[in-house]
Amino acid sequence: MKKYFLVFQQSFSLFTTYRLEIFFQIIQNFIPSAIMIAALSFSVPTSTIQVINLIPYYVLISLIYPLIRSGIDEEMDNLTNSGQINTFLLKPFSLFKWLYSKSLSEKMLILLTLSPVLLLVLVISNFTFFKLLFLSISLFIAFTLSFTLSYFIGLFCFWIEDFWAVHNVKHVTIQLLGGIVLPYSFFPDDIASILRFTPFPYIVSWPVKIIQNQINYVDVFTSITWIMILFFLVRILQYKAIQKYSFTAL
Amino acid sequence: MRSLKHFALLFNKIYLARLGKDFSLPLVNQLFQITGSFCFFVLHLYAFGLLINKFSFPGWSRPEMWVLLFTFEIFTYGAFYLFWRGFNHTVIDINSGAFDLILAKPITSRFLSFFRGGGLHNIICSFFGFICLGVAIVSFQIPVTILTIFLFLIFLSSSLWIMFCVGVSFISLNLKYGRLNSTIGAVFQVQEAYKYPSTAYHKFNLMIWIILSSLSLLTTLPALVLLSKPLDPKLIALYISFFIVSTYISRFAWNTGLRYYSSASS
Repeated sequence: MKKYFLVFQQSFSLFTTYRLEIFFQIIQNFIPSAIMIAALSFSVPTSTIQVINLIPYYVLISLIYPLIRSGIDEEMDNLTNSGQINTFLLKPFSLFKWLYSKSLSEKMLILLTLSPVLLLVLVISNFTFFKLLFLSISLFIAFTLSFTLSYFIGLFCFWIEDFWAVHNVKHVTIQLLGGIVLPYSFFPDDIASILRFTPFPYIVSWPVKIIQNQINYVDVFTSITWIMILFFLVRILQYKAIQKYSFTAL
Repeated sequence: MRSLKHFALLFNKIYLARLGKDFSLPLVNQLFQITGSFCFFVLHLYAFGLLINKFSFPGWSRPEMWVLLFTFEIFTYGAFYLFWRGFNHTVIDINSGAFDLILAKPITSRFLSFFRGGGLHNIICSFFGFICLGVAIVSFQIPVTILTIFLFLIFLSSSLWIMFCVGVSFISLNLKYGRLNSTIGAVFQVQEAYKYPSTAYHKFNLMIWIILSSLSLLTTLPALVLLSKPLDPKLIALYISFFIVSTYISRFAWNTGLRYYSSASS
């Protein structure tokens, strides 16, 4: 465990070196929703959905998404293509734990950067200590779910040459079905009810719902179940992936 | 004029060579690449459909909104085809020191850095956008003429040039500040603005209006001319100003950035 804590510390130090990059990462999440809200401001609603009700949702999505988003599948593709993954196959070092420690350090830095704004949001939404605790747990679970899903998809890079295509499909699916592009109120009812049984609502929308005081304890159970399912699939797929892997040094 | 011809020739060779490489890939790989690219097309289409079910934009009918969306698809995929590889690799090269090689070559570094060919999948998606646009024009019975199509293509090309200039300005920051991976997709991050008509922002204060309308005009203006809708002189003036300013700033940012570039060894 100590070695992974060292990885966490090292990565944290690396990310603090490129602080402007963290700033850009945070800002870029606000841009699409800010533009959309601006464009919709002077549009005419043709249903019960009002633009004014969308603003808090998109602000929260933009705050929460950088804390949860995981692009670890792309990193795994780079590691396999460059052969750097060999280190993890030869030494007693878990690739999953190493990447998890690295990602967690990055998210901690983003959380620290965003903390003044998040605190302000929490104060505005009348937060109790219990809800704060519940939100922290949900953020941790949501990040782990996002990471495990990304890692699971990343394992396909052992088979697929043009892995970026798979990454794009994953990205688009999460953006659309995770309620990032549009809230679930835009979706037809039957699709929205099916989505509840998929992992997507628990990646970003769930912590946002908690901030908006829509607490549902069943969500904890569903999201943890999804993590366990994905973790089980990761174990199987990783075993098969390593059997398949070959690398010839130049 | 001679140097322009020289650049056009080089551009042609680079992009054709890249397309040739993509064509030589096995069909499975090509299909994978097209799927990876096309999923964004579907995302925009589906999300836009859901959105215009709930909101309408004054002055723009539903068929006209679809024309705008397909213009956006053509424009975005065209930009990905032309610039994505260049934007991506330039940042990698700057951070790895490989950029030294570009500087050492007897051709302008800006051209060599940013024009590195594009993916076949992007040009296919852009082409699909043209097909969708054609279908929309026919099925919604929108009258078009040779002149409006010609103007549409002219404005689309100049919009691509503006996007290139804005992208170069962002990427130039890497020369001074080091690793800024987020700058690669900066111009694509604001693509939400290209989806909505520029008239949607007219009630904002001057600063926000200038920023959002300028970005939105990159697709709104080609769509407006294709739809033969009346053009607001204020918007045309804004578009021309954006063209000139972005061209100047990109050149300035790149040249200034080069002065700060210290290579990987120093």
